[in-house]
Formats: sequence, structure tokens, C-alpha cells
Amino acid sequence: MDCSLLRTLVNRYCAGEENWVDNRTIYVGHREPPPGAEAYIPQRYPDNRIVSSKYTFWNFVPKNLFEQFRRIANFYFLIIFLVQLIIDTPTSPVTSGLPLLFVITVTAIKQGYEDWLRHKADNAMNQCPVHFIQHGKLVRKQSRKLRVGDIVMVKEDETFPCDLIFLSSSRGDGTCFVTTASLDGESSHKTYYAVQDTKAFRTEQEIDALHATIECEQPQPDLYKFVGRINVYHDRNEPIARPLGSENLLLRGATLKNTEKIFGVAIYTGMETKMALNYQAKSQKRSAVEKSMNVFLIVYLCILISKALINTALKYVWQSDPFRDEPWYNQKTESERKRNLFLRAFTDFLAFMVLFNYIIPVSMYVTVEMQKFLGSYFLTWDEEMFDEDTGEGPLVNTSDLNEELGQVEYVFTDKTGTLTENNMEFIECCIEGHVYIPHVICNGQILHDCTGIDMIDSSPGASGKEREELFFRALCLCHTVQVKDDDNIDGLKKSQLSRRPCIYISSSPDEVALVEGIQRLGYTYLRLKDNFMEILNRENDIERFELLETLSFDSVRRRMSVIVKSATGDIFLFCKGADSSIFPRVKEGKIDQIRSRVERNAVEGLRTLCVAYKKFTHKEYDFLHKMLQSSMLALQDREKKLAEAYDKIEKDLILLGATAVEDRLQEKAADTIEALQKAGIKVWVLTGDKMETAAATCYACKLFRRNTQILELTTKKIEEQSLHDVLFDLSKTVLRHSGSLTRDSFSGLSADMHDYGLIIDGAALSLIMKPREDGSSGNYRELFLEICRNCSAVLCCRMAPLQKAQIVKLIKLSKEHPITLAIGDGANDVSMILEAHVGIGVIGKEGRQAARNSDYAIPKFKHLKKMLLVHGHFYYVRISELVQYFFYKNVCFIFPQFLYQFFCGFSQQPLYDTAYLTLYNISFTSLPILLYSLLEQHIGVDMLKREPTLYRDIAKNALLRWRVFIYWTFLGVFDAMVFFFGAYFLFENTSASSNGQLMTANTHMMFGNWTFGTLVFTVLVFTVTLKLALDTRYWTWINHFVIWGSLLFYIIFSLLWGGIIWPFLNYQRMYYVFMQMLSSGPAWLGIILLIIISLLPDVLKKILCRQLWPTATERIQKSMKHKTPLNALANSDGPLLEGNLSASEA
Amino acid sequence: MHQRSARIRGHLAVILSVMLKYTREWCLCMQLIDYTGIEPTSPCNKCLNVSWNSTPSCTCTINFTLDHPFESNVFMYYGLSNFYQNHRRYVKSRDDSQLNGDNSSLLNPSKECEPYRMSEDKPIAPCGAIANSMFNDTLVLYRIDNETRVPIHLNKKGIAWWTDKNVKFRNPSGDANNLTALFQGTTKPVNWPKPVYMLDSDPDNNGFINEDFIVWMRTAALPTFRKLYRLIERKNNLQPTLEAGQYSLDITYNYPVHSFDGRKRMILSTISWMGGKNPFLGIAYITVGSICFFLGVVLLIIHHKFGNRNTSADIPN
Repeated sequence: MDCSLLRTLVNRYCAGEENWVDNRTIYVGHREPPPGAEAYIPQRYPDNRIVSSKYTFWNFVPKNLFEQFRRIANFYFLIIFLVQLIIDTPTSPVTSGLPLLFVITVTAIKQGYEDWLRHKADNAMNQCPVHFIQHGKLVRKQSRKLRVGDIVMVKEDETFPCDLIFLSSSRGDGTCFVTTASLDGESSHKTYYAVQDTKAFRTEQEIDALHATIECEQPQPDLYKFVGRINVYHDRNEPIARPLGSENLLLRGATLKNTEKIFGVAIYTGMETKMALNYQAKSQKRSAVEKSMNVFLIVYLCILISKALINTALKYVWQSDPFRDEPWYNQKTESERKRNLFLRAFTDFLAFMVLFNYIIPVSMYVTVEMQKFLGSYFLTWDEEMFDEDTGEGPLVNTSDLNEELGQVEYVFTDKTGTLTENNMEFIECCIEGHVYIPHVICNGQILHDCTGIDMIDSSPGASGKEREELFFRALCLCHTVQVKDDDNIDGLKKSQLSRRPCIYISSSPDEVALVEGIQRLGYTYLRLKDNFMEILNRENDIERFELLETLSFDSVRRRMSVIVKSATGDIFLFCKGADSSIFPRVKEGKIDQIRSRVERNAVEGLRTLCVAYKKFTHKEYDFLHKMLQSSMLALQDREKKLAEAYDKIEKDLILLGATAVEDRLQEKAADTIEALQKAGIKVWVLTGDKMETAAATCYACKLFRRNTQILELTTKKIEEQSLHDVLFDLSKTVLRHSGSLTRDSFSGLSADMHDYGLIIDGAALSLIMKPREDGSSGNYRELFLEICRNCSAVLCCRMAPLQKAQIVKLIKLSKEHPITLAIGDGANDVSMILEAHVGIGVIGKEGRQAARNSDYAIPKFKHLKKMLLVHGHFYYVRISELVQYFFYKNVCFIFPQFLYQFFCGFSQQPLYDTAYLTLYNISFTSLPILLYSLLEQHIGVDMLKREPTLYRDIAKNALLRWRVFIYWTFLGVFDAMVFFFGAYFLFENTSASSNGQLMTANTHMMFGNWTFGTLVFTVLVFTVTLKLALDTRYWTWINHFVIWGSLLFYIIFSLLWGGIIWPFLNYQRMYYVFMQMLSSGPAWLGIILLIIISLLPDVLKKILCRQLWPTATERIQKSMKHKTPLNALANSDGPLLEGNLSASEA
Repeated sequence: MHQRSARIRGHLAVILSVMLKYTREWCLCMQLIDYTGIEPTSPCNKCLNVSWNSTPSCTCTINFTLDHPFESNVFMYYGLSNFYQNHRRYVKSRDDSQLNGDNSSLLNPSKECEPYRMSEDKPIAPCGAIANSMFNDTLVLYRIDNETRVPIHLNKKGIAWWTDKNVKFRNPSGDANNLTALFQGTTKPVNWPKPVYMLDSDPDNNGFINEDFIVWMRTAALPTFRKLYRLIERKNNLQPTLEAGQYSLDITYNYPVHSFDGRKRMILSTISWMGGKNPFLGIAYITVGSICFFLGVVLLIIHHKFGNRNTSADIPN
């Protein structure tokens, strides 16, 4: 990959001006164009090899090592290891080398395995056979040998081996169907069109005879954009140029469906295909926990350095007496004496660093990574989050952000497809003020609408009738829906009508709903055949319209149009779109009536579309056609030119009517939003929809309640007053109550508190965001943020996708730096999903783009509740305990060693044996915390779901605050003091006053310094493990197994380690030390005593805090404990006893 | 749960401490003699500034009285203070494979032994600072019975760990009766008056497996330490091992400690199943036990006063 990328880069930037081209020219079938054709610069293209793997067999070791040592922690340990190798240090290089090796190996194996899988996938892909045409014959070759310009044949259900220009298909109309499920997840069939001039070619020979060149842009990753031009040479004539667009480009990774075979010419190969260009990794998101972890790490690094400095300084002070530096029994060697003082001091400093380096836990990063990786499986395994209908469960795209799910303060949600089902149902249409309701008409009955004005008039008069039919035809024609006569297609929507089993497929559910609705009103869209659209009208006659142009939908214009030619030869333009984009372009029609109806529908939460038409003369059309063609053929700025052309065409329309489509709320959407709000999370709805529709949805899903005071910040209001005044007014209203409000909102329980809901639209937002000339842009933003902060719910409507991201960014960067979560289902939500701290995709109907770009994907909006309140809460609690515990256990581990320096003449004598130093973090204390951090449930799942307020207990990184961190550190220091001085008093025998009254002794079998260290270490391992056992609230057999197992392992290991004279060691200092220690009574009693003393303060603190200042979590834990036996009793003995019991309990 | 465990722990600790106290009742026997000779009145004052090679050795005698009889086996220790046996340079200055009887290490000791590795171009056996600085005072104990000095039998075997004596420390392989030959080609540590194969006349306690040597080689954890010197075994059940009365200690004063402010002591002590007399454990258990008990009571009160209020004030749904 590097190679080809580099080559491309070199080609692009280093080859000089004249070689730099932004177009490429391809000879179809490698046939040179006739002389005289445009000169061009030959380019080199990569072969069709896909390389997704990072390493090769040769560079794996160096490259992987390099990548791993770029991480700070690994680099730190590498430095320590090197220091140990170079200078004379108290511990052998093994002590840090082995854990480092372990960590590096584990990571390397994991990455190597992943890369091996990638290699395998690459090979399978690169070696799969491809048919292509050589000299008029079909040849089979490996996919990787494909080159740009080759003509390829693809059969049904095969995937395309590279990006192809579609030349011809076995279908007569030159179309083919493709699913891009593996590219963007959209399983619907899309139609692609062959190049006009070549679509008639059927055989290999014909295709091979094709003489053409293709000019197209250089590869770019956007899947939906492509511009190019094909020049077909017929004999000696001038070449015919045809535009090529994305509808002619078959992408690698997509699969051919419902088409026997197609021919295409390769234009982008290998790593230049659009699929490969989309491999690029997303930007790394880092969680708040990780950030605080790094801060703590720096604190510990400072502690480490200061410890080493203190000891070095003290060493030289202490050594100033020569009899201490070099007593007669302990002389230095000649070379040591001669060494320069500063060099000696520096070496001593490094030696102390090495001695204390374990305070920075080497295994923490590995454990955290494993915890996250394994922990994310709990999410995917959750059966409650599995959706039966779609057969999909939650997806985890990154496990780095698990704990961030427990920290969310703002939820930004999309409306359509996220809060609502995106399952559209046609409700009514309004033609010139007359309302039609499909099912009513279907039953052959005509009902009056309740409001009276919008009556259904069965005989609206001749002109009305004409308009009505035009309206229905418009809806039948103005869409991009496809008809499938095949049943076994996924993503289908069966028509309920028995007249003809038509299955409509479209990327937009609105369109399907409309076409189906019109079907019920009597007009059935049959198919698109040879550019003719066929409609079955009320009289069961087939009407044929020639489709001349399609002005496709985009989110900027918010409308689409078709230009059709009727059988009578009239040319019509039918346009449908959002009211805001249609009304300004209408010159006649019953605008006011329709507008009022549209607004009424919007208030009810219906999605409305307006339909308009325009008639062209043939002359006008020819002019338009030319204009469109020229902009379509443009290689540069095609988008812009097209938009301009569309703008010119779609004007002076005649309004026909409007439609209303209902999008039902997702199940439990209201429940979920309520729970999130109770959990202290602010929910913002960002939608492209109209304000009225969106507001109605917000009321329906209880984002706004009846007593919510709605503040509006919309274009309409800004037109009346200046933005400045509006903002100040709003902030005044909001802040008047904020004093009493903040307190209430924190308890979150007062039902009658004064809460505000803000509605803002896209235009107003861009005004606020726009930097003003005088540069005081921050002013409005601050004010706006201030208002938002005091609103319980915010609705942003009429948002463009980028504006959604802008809002998220605005909140993300505001001064509290809250954690944001964005959830959405469509391509328009991708930008905000990428922007937010946590991006969640709803696996929805609008394709999988959101799910693909998200960090987590869930099937339904309601799953967000469990994801945040239960999983996020657990993840956060687990990881914070993991981090704190890791630091704690290493303080416990290293601090005694620090204290020991004061008693061994600051000589860097290690307290523990090498094996203990090495294995402490790897095996004696690693598994229990890992398992704890995977399995711990401090409160039951049900309770967390029932009590969303518990989420507030962990808000704002509560468990990793400085106070908590310092508490853990001091607990570690205290425990270390207990271990060390406990052992010291057991061993020490000087407290002798001269009369020998207060004397100490140890057993008659003398214990040396290694026994001392082993005693401390034993107490340490037991205390640290039991501390975890005390913290564990959720015991499974695995916890038991691991906690008691690792203690047992420690004992067995120590027995073994001391039980044999190890031939490969040059010292035997641990020989029988552990066993001798265990054979002495005082050691046993001492160990037990010290464990109790060191655990006591933590237990005490917990009990006291629990009793006197319980958090909500602890209150729940307690009430759970009290309730369960009570309920059990009550159930068995009836309600009488329950009363007694609760009375006695009180 | 926490309260209960704390209370149980409290009870447990109290019971244990009472047990400890009780077992100690019949063993309060401990005698400590400082014979460094710092005080001018001390009989050993004259020897204070001895050096390693002073010949003849300086000797002194200290008389003392035992107030209580020592009932069970008595252990005789020597104690040193301000002696950093745990200094890193010191701790590692030994060669375990040489001490384990490895012949190649015998003639080519480990680098760790520097600067006590070679002497006069011959390898030192045993090499290293630890061995070189082995304690070499001789202590002899007499009971003064009607003005006569009755020597007390001091057993010099059984003072080292069994595993050290039999597994970890071994003389070089060869004829065990001719140690001189086994140590051929090596030289004695600089400070020693005689080579390692002349530490004792008993071949089972000579060379590297000399128990005084093994005891010394187990480096102490703290700068003030004591090491077992001799055992005084009880002869029969009728008589205590050491009766109350007058005793005298003869010291051959060889070991200089004054240069580093050290002290030398002789300690006599008996041992229960709990080890030596160590009030720390007993006191600690009593203290912790009472604290736990007290806390248990306090928490019980808190629980009753505050606990109910909290449970009744349930979280509103």
C-alpha cells in the first residue's frame, strides 16, 4: 500500500508541473486512439492488488516494534530497560524486560493475527478469478493482474473486481441492478446505466472491437461522485463524446444482481478504487477516562522522579561520614572509588528510578485495552438490545469509548428514523384546498373532514378535475422509485393492494409512501421501461410518459423534478419538494389555502411535500436540454453548474397541492427521552424538518412537556427584531428563574419546575455562528450557550448536515467541555456522529452509512437507554475502579521499597526478590482486577434501568476526580507504611532500653533481608487482592476462581521458587525463605494482623460514608438489601405480616 | 455486612491477643549484655579499639545475674547494631555457586565478589564482603556456683536452617575428611585469621558448612540485628536450663565495631511456640482488637440511629 501511495504521491507532486494532471485518460481495451486525437500524458496505474494489511512478513518485527514504542508507556519501559542494561542497577534487566516483553508480545500477537487475517482476506480477493476480454476472447485471470483499460465481464451475483465504467449488459435496456451492501450497507437494488453508444454490444467480439477513450477525474473517495467523459471513435469520424456520471460507474465491492452479465472497462484499480480509498481510518477519539489516566500517570511520574531525587540527595548526605560510605567490612572497588562524583550521583539517580519504576504500572495499558476489548462483547451479547424485527444486535465499531457512554451530558438526536420509525404512511393530500384521504376513497366513501373548510369535494369542477389528475400523475411520475417484480429482494416494501403485486424500492421511504398512497387513490405506477414511465390510471388504462430528464433530489435544493413528455406530446415539468423551497418558486395556484393546510399538517407532526408543475414548449425544452447537457458534460465544477441549471429550470411553477405523510414515533422513544432527562442528560433534537413538524414530534416524545415554556429563536422572529434584541430578551427570561432553577434541576425531581424549551432554526443559527465584522463573534455565541444551558430541551430544525456538526462542536468546545453523544441513522447525521465524543448510529432504513461511521450502532433508539444507563454506567464504574486500583496497588508495591532505602543506607537494595518484582503486575495481581473490571455490577441491571437518576452519581468523571485519586493514593501509602513498619517491628530488636525490659525477638531461626521482603510482599499481595474482594459486589464463580486462584498461585509459586536450587540462577537467595517464614508462628500472626490493619481504614471509611453521607447509589444498594428479604417474607405470609414488619423496621 | 465483619474481626483479635498474652506468661526470660565497652567502667573498654590482626586477642569478662530461671531451651545470640548487612554492595557480594561446592566457581569466583575476589592472585574462598566480615568474637558462658566457674555447654550445631546446612551450602566435592586439599589453590578471606577449612575441628561443621558461617551469610534485614550463636539445651525436666544466679561471660574480643559506631551484645532468650518474646505482636493484637471492638459498637449505634432514617427515606420513583 505504501508503495503505491508513494508512487501516486510522487506522480502527483514530484513529477513537475507538466506531469501533474487531474484527469486520467484510459484506452478502452488498450487500443490506441486514432492519430490526431488529443495528446495526453501516459500515466502509470497501480495493479489491481488490494493491500489492507499493514505489515509484510519481513517488516513485521521492526515496523510493529516501532509502532508500539511510539506509545509513551512502552517507550518509558524501554528506557528503563536500557538503563538497566547499561548501568549497574539494583534490579536485573529481567524485571522490567520481561513484563515489557510480555506486553509487547501480547500486542504484537494480537496485531499480527489481525494482520494475518487481513492478508488472508487480501489474498482471497486478489486471487479470485476474473473474466476479461483479450483479443475477442474470454480469459480467466487472477484479480490482481487486472489493469486499467481492461474490459471485464461480470456475471450475476459476482462482485466487481475494480471500479468499472458500465459498457453493456445482458438486459436489453442497458441497465443493471447492483447492491452496494458491502460498501455503504444499503441493501436496496440500485440501477446503473450503460453508456448509450455501447449498450447494444452483446458479444465479446463486439465489445473488443470498441474503440474509445475515457477521460475521467483522478480517483477520489466519495462513493457517490464521479465525472468523466467517453469518446467513442467510429471509423474516421469525429469521436462522439458522452458524459459519464456515477450512474455509469460500477464500484468495486458492489454485487451484480438480477442481471445475467455485464461488460465494463476498468478505470480505477487496486488501491485507487473508491472502496480502497474509503479504508482510511477515522480520526481517533479518546475518552475522558483515558485523559485523566494520562494525567495521573504524569503525577506518578513526578512522584517517581521526586522520590529518586530525594533518595539520591539523602544518600549523599548520609554518606558524608566516611565510615558510612565505606566501612571496613564493605569496601568499594578501585574503579568505583575513582568515578567522578557527578557521574556517580547521576547513576545513583537512575538506579533509584529503576528501583521505583514499577510505580508506573506497566500492565495497566494492556489491562485497560483488554478490558475494553473484551468488555465491548457484553454490549454485543446483550439480548435485550437485539432487535427481533431486523435480526440485528448492537455493533461495536470501537471499544475505546466504552466508558464514555457513562459520562454523556448532551445527547444530540436526529428526528427522522431515530426518534421516529421512518416508516412512512401516506395520510392525505390536498389539491387546491380539497383534501383527499386515501383509505376513505378506497372504501368508496367520502367523509367530511372535521374542520369543515377542507372538504372533500367529489366534483371540483372541470378545471379542478384536470388539476387533480395532473396532481396524481405528478406524484406518479416525479420520483426515483423502482419497481421490483421479484419477491426475494430485501429492503422491499410490499404493496397492500391486490390489484397488482408491485414492490416499490427507493432510498427515500417518503417516496415509497407517496407512490403507494397514490396507488390507493387510483393511480398505479407500473414501471420504467426504455425511458418510458407507465402509469395505470383509474380507468385501468396504461398511460406512457417519456422520461426526458431527472433533476435529482439534493438536500440543498430540497426538491426534485422530472421532465416528461406525455403521449400527446406535451412536455411537463413536475416538481416536488419542501414547502419552503417550492413556495418561492410558484407563480400561481391556490397558495394560501395550501399553505394553511400544510402548516396545519406540520403542527400535527406530519411530513409535508408540495407539488407543482410547469409546461414547456418544445423550443423551451430544447434550450433546457442543451443547457443541462453542457453542464453535465463539464468535468470541472459539474455540481455547481448543474445546480445553476436546475435553478434556472425550476421556477415560475404552478402549485398543484401538497401531501402529508406520517412518520410514527419509534416505540418507547418518549420513555427513553424521559429516562435520559432524568439521568441529567440534556437532549437536543437536530433535524432538517420543518419547525412545526419537529415541534410536534418533540411534544409526542415528551421532550417538551405541557408546562414547558417554549422559547423561539427563528428566522421569523429575527425578522421582527434584531438578533441582538431577541437573544437578550431570551436570556433575560431564562436567567430570571435560573437561581431557583439550577437547584431544582440538579435534584431533577421537582415536577412543577419552570423549564424552558428552545427552538432554533438553521438560518438563525448561522446568524449566531457567523463571525461579525468587528470580530466580536464570541458574544452571541456565549449568550446563545447561556440560554441553551438553562433550557431543558432544545430543538434545532431546518438544519443542514454540516450545521448539525457545528452545533455539536459548539457545545463540545464550550467552557465546561461536556461529553456529547450524537445519534442518527442517515447519511446526513454522519458529520455530527463523527464530531461528537461518542457517535451512535441507528441501524435504520436510510442505509448504513451512519452505522458505519459511528462508534456504536444500535437497532433502535430505545436501546440508547440501556446502553447509557446500564452499560455505560457499568463501563465507567469498572474502568475507573480499574485505573484507581492499578495506581493503588503499585503504590502499595513500591512505597515499602522506598521506605526500605532509609534502613539500608540508601544503597538501592531492593526489598523484594527479582521474581516478585517481575511477576507482581503480570501474574499475582493482574487477573482479579481484569475480571472485576469485566464483570462488576455494583447495582443490579434492573435498578439502573428503573432509576435513571443514578446516572448523575457518576457524571462529570466523578469517580476519577482528584479527591478520589488522592484518597486512593493515600490509602496506598498508608497500606505501604503498615506493611513496612509492621514487618519492621516484627523484625526489629533495638527498641531495647538498657534494662532489657521492652525487647523484641524473632524466631530462633534467623530471618534475613529476603525473608523480610517476602513477608512484606505476602502481606501486600493478600491485602491488595482482598481489598478488591471487599470492593466486589457482584460475585460470580469466575471472580471467586480468579481471586482465590491468584492468591493460591502466589503461594504455590513461592513454594516452588524457594523449593529448588535453580541451576540457571547465579544466586540462591530465595531458597527456602518462604517455607521458613511459613513455619514460624509470629510470621503467620503478623501477616494476618497487618492485613487486617491495612484493610481497616478503607472498610471504616466506606461504612461511615455509607451511613452518614450516602450517595444515591449506596442508598439504592441498601434498600435493595432490605427489600429482598422483606418481599420474600411478605409474599409467603401475606400482607398482614408485611405491615408488621415494616412497622418494626421503622 | 461491613459492620458485622468489623465486629467479628474485633472479637477475633481480642481472643488471639489474650491467647498470646497467656502463652507468654511462663516465658519472660531474656537477658541482654552489651559488651561493646564504650563505657569506661566496662571490663571490655580496653578492647574497644582492637583491630583485626591484633595478637594476642584481647579478652574480657562480664559478670551478670539471672533473676529468673530459664525453664526451656535457651538460645544465645550475638547482636550488632549500626552494621549495614543490607547494603546493596554488601548483599550481593557473595557467590552462591561457590558456596554450593561448585569447583569452577571455587577457583573463579563471581565478579560480584569484588573487591574481595582475589587476594595475592589467588581466588578467595569464600569470596565476597559478607564472608570477609564474618563475626569472630568467641563467647563462653560460665555459671558461678559457690565462687567456682562451671562452664555451660554451648551447642554450636542446629543454629542454621537445615536446608542451608544440607543443600544450599556445600564443601567442594571430594574427600570430605581432607578439606585442606579441597580448598587447594584458594586463599583465606583477607580479614580471617585462618582459612575456611580450619573453622572447626568437626569435619561436619567445617568449611562452607560451618554453621556460624552459614548464619552470618544470611544477611540481616535491618542495620540492627542479632544472630543465633549457640544453643543451651535443657538436660532434664527437674532442673531449669539456666538457674537463677550469678553468671560470667568470657569474651575473646576480635570484632571491631567502634569505627562505625556499632554495638555488640550477647542475648540469652527462651522461645515459645510463638517464637521469641516479642511483645509487639501481642500489643498490636490487643490494640487492633480493641479498636475493632470499639468501632463495631460505634457503627452499631450509628447504624441504629441513621440507618432506619435512610431506608425509610426511599428514593422516590
